[in-house]
Amino acid sequence: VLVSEGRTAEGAAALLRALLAVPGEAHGLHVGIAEPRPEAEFTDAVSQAGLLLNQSRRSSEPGASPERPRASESRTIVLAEDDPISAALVRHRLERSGFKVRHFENGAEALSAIREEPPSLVVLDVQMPGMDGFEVLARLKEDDRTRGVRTILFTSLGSESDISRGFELGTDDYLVKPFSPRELIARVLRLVRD
Amino acid sequence: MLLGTLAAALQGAFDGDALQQRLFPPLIWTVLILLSASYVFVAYAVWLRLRGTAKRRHRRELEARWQRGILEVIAGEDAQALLESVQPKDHLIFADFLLDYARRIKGPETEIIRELARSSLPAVVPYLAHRDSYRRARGVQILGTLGMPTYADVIIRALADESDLVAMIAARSLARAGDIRHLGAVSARLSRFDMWSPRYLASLLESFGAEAAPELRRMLADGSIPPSLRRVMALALTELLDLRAADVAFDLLPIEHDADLICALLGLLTVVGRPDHLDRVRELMTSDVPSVRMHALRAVGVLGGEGDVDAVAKGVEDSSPWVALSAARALRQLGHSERLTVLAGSGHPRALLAGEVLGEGH
Repeated sequence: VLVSEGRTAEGAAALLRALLAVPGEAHGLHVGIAEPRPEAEFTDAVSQAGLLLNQSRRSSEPGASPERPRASESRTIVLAEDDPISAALVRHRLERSGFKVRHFENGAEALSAIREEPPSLVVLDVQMPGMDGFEVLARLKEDDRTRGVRTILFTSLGSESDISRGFELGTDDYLVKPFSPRELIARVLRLVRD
Repeated sequence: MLLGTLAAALQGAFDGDALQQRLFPPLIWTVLILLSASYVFVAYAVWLRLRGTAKRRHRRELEARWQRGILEVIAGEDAQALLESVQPKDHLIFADFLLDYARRIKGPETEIIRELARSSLPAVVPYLAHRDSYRRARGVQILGTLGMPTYADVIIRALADESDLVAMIAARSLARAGDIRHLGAVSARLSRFDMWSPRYLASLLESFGAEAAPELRRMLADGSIPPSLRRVMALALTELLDLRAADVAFDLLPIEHDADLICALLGLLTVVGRPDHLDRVRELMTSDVPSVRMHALRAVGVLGGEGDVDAVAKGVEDSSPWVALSAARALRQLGHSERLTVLAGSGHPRALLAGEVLGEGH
């Protein structure tokens, strides 16, 4: 059950199915309107639903909280971001959605950690001291162990050429700062779903 | 210790024979005064440093205490507990801290931060009278980001700040708010921003959005406004892709004398002009001013047709390499790259330039 303000059940179902890329009925997904709530709760509900669905696909083991999955069951995301405020915003939102986040302030440390233990997803700032995000991405794609790791480039470089460069290097998604935390979560869920 | 030594020396002076001559000679007085002053200065510097350290520590502690709450509220939790934890004396720091978050996010969460800041913003207003211009600028930034439109009047007053930086941040804040009612206040102060580039100022005006276009057109046509400012208006209208500005530019072309303004008008016509504007543009292809010829050729390249090819081709022979480059590009845009191919294969002085322009087309 999703909560929504100003949304119809059909709209909510369509959005959820779009986010999760599943036919609702085929998965026994039931969507309804509980009561008017702030928009934030709707997005969080979508995020949580997506995460729970992914977890249920991996394991049929019961016990996950409907509010917040246990840390041991959550997937790991590496966050490479040198700006402490942006890092706090991203980290908090991801953790709130049930992910385990490993945060690094520079590209070299993040690359080393990813190689050691490939995560489900990497959220990668482009402008970092030392090794920048483009270089980290290029090295990830060169390495057989890390080539399949999903990435989101997260940067204030929003020009067409920068975005093109990111996709040419093989990133799965690109999010420009300033960013919407809800949009970030939606994009993350879309990528970790598969 | 040093003062003690000096006191002992003075005591010795009292014991000597020539007491009157040696008593408190001016040199000793001077040394005493300088030493005392240096002690005072050192003590003051230490006190300032300690105070600064204590302030920074206090701020770090507050930020660490607030951060979790702010993140939770942004994520949709209730704000009451967080707001109650902010002491009245810390409202300025709280608002300043919230600005760091507001600048990094967009979407509905921005409104949550603005709401969080609402009760703290009155503490920021006195900050705009601080003697340090950087602090005034930060105050304007906080109010401009978190307090519009409530604090619009305060921001408008900051347009008259003695610091150009503070005034520019105020102008940016008003423009970003997108309220067309503030366009007059900003444009009236535009002349003080002559150290900023015209394109930056144009982007400032463009931030007001398409609703600003009628006022910008009026100012562009107003001959009593300095040409340098009208150039900014033309650039802003170009950014806004304002189709109706093309007729204004067309009317102004034959009566304006400022080369920079004419170039801006030609640039405007290049983007939003029509072929029926070309007559006056063509005349300027032979202007005495190279930059005007360059912009005229560029406009003809976009708006012109077959009848312009020969005149544009002549431009490739221009003594100015920039004009020649513009002409070569115009030739390519008019669909006559073959002329450039011939030129590139010849021993003509512009052969290299023609080859480069042909390369741009691939």
